[in-house]
Amino acid sequence: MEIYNVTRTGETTFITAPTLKEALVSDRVLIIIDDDAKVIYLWKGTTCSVRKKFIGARLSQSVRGERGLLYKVDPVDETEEPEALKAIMDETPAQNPTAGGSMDLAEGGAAEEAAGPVAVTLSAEMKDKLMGEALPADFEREGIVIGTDYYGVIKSTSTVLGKTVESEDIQKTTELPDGKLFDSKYGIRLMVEKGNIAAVEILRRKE
Amino acid sequence: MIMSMLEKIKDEPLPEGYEREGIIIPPVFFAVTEKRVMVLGKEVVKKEIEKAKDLPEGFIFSEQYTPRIYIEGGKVVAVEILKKIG
Repeated sequence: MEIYNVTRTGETTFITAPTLKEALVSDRVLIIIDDDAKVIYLWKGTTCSVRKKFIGARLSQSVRGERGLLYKVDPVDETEEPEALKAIMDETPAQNPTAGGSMDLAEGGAAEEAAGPVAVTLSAEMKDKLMGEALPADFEREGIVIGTDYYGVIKSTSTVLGKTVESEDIQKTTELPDGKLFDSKYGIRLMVEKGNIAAVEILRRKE
Repeated sequence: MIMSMLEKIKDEPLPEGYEREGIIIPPVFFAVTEKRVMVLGKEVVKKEIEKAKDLPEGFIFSEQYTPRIYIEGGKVVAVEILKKIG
């Protein structure tokens, strides 16, 4: 089994990992070639870019053209892996690409592209959507989770010619403590868009 | 990666008085589903975590729910949706 990582530049890079499942990082699109089953899996992580998906679709067909028409291309979304792919999750992929099987596939290392979530910024559009929805009674917003980023609600109070002016801003918080956070005083509101969780609002019950 | 995170969370003990109703691994919502089957007249219930389909668009809120947030390396890797029992 060989694994190729699809890059944003339209190339693929041969990668290695101790097992297949360890190569499955959510922001990646991978071309997994199972020579035994003659299947080319186009695996798409949940946070991969649309661009990579398009590039992956094109390249997977090229790989099929090179390997032979007996091979079948099977597009797979992360979390919806077929049983046949689940069955080889713990197998060790090839440590080198097949001779002559590189096509335009540039050889590289697993560290070619940093693993991890794609950074998400709180856009003005998102801010408008969230602020435009009235909060449930007895709750105030304390934070918003978008992707893997946490945005804290910063409240500031200042005095202008004796008049108190309050303002609220939302800023990305990077110094979060590792571990689990739970407190029964908090509630949650979800914002769903196109079947996915676009935002999670962390709401605090007013005392 | 997502599956190993789900497995890890499933093994976490729940706060007293709460049950797990869902897990968000951004941006995907996984729901805890109960599957009931009759075996020789006896009902067997199995709980599984599955990617939720057909989530309604827009805002979803209910006072009964409390989040538990999992942070690793300064990032929110998961949000557990816990429901108060009783």
